[in-house]
This record gives sequence, C-alpha cells and structure tokens, in this order.
Amino acid sequence: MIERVLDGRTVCICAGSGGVGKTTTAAAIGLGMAARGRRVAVLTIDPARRLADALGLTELGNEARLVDAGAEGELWALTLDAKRTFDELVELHAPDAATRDAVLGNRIYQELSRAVAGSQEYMAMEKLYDLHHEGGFDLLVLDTPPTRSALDFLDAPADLTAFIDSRTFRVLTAPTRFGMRLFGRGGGLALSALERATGVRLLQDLSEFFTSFGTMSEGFRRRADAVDRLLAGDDTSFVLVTAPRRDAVEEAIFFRERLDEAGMPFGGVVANRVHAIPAEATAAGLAGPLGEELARRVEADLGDQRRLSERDRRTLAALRRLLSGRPMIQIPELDRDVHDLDGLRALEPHLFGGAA
Amino acid sequence: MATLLDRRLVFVTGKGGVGKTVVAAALGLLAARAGRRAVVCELSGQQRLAGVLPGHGGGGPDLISIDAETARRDWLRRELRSGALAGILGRSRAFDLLTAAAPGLSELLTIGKVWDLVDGGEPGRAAYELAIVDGPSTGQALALLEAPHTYAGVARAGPVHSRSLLIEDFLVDRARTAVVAVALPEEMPVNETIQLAASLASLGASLELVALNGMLPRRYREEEAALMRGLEESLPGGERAAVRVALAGHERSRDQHREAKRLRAGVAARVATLPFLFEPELRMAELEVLADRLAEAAA
Repeated sequence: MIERVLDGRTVCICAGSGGVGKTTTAAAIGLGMAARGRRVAVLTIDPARRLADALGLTELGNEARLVDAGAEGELWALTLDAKRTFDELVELHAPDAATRDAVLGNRIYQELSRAVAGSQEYMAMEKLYDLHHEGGFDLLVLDTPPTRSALDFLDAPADLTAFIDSRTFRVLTAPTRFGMRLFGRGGGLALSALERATGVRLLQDLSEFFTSFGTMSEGFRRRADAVDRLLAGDDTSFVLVTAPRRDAVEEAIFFRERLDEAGMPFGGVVANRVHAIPAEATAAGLAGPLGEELARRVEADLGDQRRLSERDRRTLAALRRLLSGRPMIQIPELDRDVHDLDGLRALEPHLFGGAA
Repeated sequence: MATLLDRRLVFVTGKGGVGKTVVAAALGLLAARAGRRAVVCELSGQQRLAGVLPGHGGGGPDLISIDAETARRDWLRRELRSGALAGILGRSRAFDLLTAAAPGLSELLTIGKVWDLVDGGEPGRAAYELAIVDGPSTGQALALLEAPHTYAGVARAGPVHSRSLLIEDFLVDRARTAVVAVALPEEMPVNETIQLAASLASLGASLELVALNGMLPRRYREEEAALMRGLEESLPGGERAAVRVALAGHERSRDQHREAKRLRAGVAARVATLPFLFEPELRMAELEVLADRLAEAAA
C-alpha cells in the first residue's frame, strides 16, 4: 500500500500537524523499505528519545548513521541540526574566510539561523536536497518539523530567498544611511525611536549582516530554487500523516489543497491510530463462559469501541473525498505505544499491506 | 499556596494533540463560575473555543485571540506614540524581518499582551483578574515564558528593558502565575512533560498541575482478564473477536496506569486525571465533566 503511495519515487516527505505520529511513520516507512532491500535514509528533526535511541540517534549530527535493523537493505538515520546545516551553507557560499567569519559571528545571523520560524524548515529541505544530490540512497524519507502550521516548510525556501533577495540587499547595503533607505524619511525616524525604546543596536547589526551576507545571496537563491524544483518534481512524493482528530484532519485537508496550489505531488494519506473493531465481534454468547455480569461489561466495552470507530470514520470522511484516487492507509490503534524497532515492525503489515 | 484560580495567569501547554484547548476551556469555565473576571486567550489564531464555550452572557469566560502581528502593531503604536510612524513600520516587510531577527521580540510582545490583560503594572486597573492561556506546544511555550528574561538582557536600557523585568517577575512568581501541562498517559507525552518540568525549573518558574487527559476506564480486574485470556481460543469467532477487543483495551489501560505512575514519580506537580471521552463531539456536557475533575485538583 505504502509502495503505491511512494510510486517508485526517491524522496518521501511526511507532513502533518503535531502529535499525529509523523516521526514514527517516517521511521516505519524507512524500516519497511530497507527490509525490501533498499538503501534508505530517514531524516528526523526532533525524535522522541526512545525512538531516537532505537535508531541510534543519540545526538544531533548531520551525519547519517547506519541503524542496526537486521534488514536486507540498509536503514540510515540522521537527526537534523538546523544551525549546523545553515553554517555549512554559509561556508559553502562565502567568497572568502573573512566574510564567512563575519556572518557566522553576527548576532542577527545567529538569531536567524537558530530561532526564526522557517529556517529550521528550510534547512530540512536543504539537507534533503544535499542528500538527494549526492545520490547515495534509493529512498530519502523526511520527517518534517513540528511547526505551528504544517505548511510553513513549503514556504520556507521562498521566504528565505525573499529575505536574501538581492533587491532587498541592495537597499540595505548602504551602512551609513541604512535607516533612511530602508524606510524612507519617516521610517528612519521611527526606526531610531524604536532603537531608543528597545535599547537594541539593531541597525548596526543588521547593516553588518546584510553587507557580508549579501555577497552570498546569489548562491543561496540558486540553491533555494533548486530545492523548490526538487519538491515539485517527479522524484518527490508527499505523504500526509494524520490522525482521526478534527484539528489534525482539518490541517491535512488544508495541506492537501496547498499541495495542489503549489504544484507539488500528493502521494497519499497515512491515518494513524484509527479505532476499528472487527465487524463480527459480538458479546451475544459470552454470558455462559464469562458469567452474565462480566459479559455485560464486555458488551458495553464493544459499544464504546463501535462509537469510536464510527467517530473516526466520520472524521476521516472529509479527507477521503480529497484523495483524487491516491490511497489512504489506516493504521489501527495498536495495543502498545511504538517506540522501538519492534514497535515499528508492528506497523509494517498495516503500512505495506498484508495486515489481518 | 494560592489555589490555581486565584492566580493572575494560568498558562496551559503540552505536546501537540493532547487536548490543551479543551483543558484551557474547562479551566475558563471553572474560573467564570467561581466569579472571577476571567479571559481565555488563544494564541494559535485558530479560534476553536468560540463554538464550545458559552459566551460571557451564558456564564462563560471572555475569549480573546492574540496573534504576534497585532501584538506588534499595538506595541509600536504605544512605544512610538505616533500612529503615523507606527503605520509606516507596521506595513514594512523589512520591519517584519527585523522583529523576527530581534531575539525573542515576537514572543515578548505576545506574552506582554497577555500580561497587560491582567496586570500591565497596575493590577488594580487591569481588565481581567485571571487570564488562562491556551498556549502553544512545549518548546514554543518555553520560548514565550523565557522571552522577558532574554529580552531584559538584550535591551540594556529603555522602556522595553524595564517592562521585560516586570513581566519576568510576574511569570516566575508562583503567587501570580501557574503553568499547567496537559499530557496523555503515553510514553512520549509523559517524557516531554517531565522534561518540561525541568526546563521550567531552570527558568525559575514551576509546573503547578498536570492534566493527564484521555484516561481509559479500568473495566476489568486482572483475574477477569486472565479468565478471558484462558477462554479466548475456545470461543466462536464473533465472541473471540469481542474478547480480543476487551483484552486490548485492558492492556492499554494497564499501560496508561503505568505511565501515570511514572509521571507522578517524575514531577513534583499535582496530577489530575481526565477521563477518555467516547462522545463524538465535545459539547458543554463533556466540558462540565472535565471541569469537575479539574476543580478537585485546582482547589
């Protein structure tokens, strides 16, 4: 089933809102494909500790590590260090060592690379592009960052390009008259009032930043364009990961529409933790073996579970209408939480087909 | 120690999808019923509460949605004391980038807006006695709570500096501010909650209460589960399926209790358990059930 979602593509991006099991799904897809003989790398952002331990990801690092999964193929995993990736990009694009050091040491740059919304998303895409470009893997699976909105990362390359757009940079790289040029006359006044109010020397930091960063903007922009092309191209498949919760489904629907607008390839949906009970389940003949009182409780239990199944079915129905012929894979609520390789293997029959 | 609803700020956070909004709503309902002038602040911009809570007229709390952009515009207008200047900056793309690049400024403005609602330096004249914040997930929540401290260090003088200090004092004062974490009785959310408690402690703030959401009913005793397990294979198909459903639920419930125990051992905060709701939609009746449970823990 998931193989239909992947459709032979070499880049799989798992997207969805927080708490729907993106990391777990990405890892399970990776493990399953490795078991089918592929050489797979899973890129995670912030894996829960035990899952990270299971994948051998005990520390942040931009180097992929081979997971001891006993698979026929190979499963590699890496936890993205956004700051490190950004630094590497600066090193790549800097024309000389002085510019590189000026950027890396600038406070605006440090904030931008660490804290600004979107930079982590962009760096995830950047690392993905890098690995794709190197070409050492049959499949790359990306677990997207836990953003406030699952969509932020789609805009990330464009946002960063806009930020370092050379037109902006041209206006900004006149250090002495920075404020005036940036905002016009009134704006310049406002900005110096703002500096007085905040007590922060933003002007100087910003102007330094743009002066040195600007020399690299062309390289960054070409890179961001290339990342954009990868996301929209024939190598990529977006998997929407969701759960039968109203907020998660609404987010997935929104995302589904955005993918079409952005011309990015929708592979299918993985819905995690769906309540389902076998249609044949009945407590009718249990009073004999279990006693009447216990049988009644089992019957009440079944009634609650049926209501949950019905609720989940209705919650997912709106998303089902938007599949455009692509699959929706439902993973049932399992008896145990998933946080190790055995747990991931328990997901495999549901993801890959062959589940009872 | 003051009870939860006697504070000025109750900040609700937790991992994605654990039920933060519902807990914030239930706390808002409790506060309004206790006669507090209370407001529930949504920071997500999703405005999911309007459909669930009764409005002010129906005995519910007020609702307000705070987004970083509006917070920034209001602040500019006040700091620059000029609508025209603020307008120029507020529309500027460059200013967007500048506020984004100033460390912690967006967060400071957002939490500052909440602070204005209940304190603003003159608590007696504040619009509300209590603000309940339906906060973001743990990482972003910590950034919000940490922002005044960060910013007090970045801005070495000026009105922003002194305001940051006031807000920081307010946030770490247990008599005025309480942090409530919402968790599910599962391994990952419990781990995250234990980490949150440690991170809050290092900020000087403290975790007051954990709302452990989605606790399944314990339907069967161990000997009953054992009886079912023993009979499982001998039953006809439909009955066997039913018993398997029952046993799976039993296992889940047992795991949940183990996680609840681990949580209690891992945090000093009180833990309130909230029942898993089987109803298809969250309505007032369900909210009342949760509010009642929280009322016991909040006392």
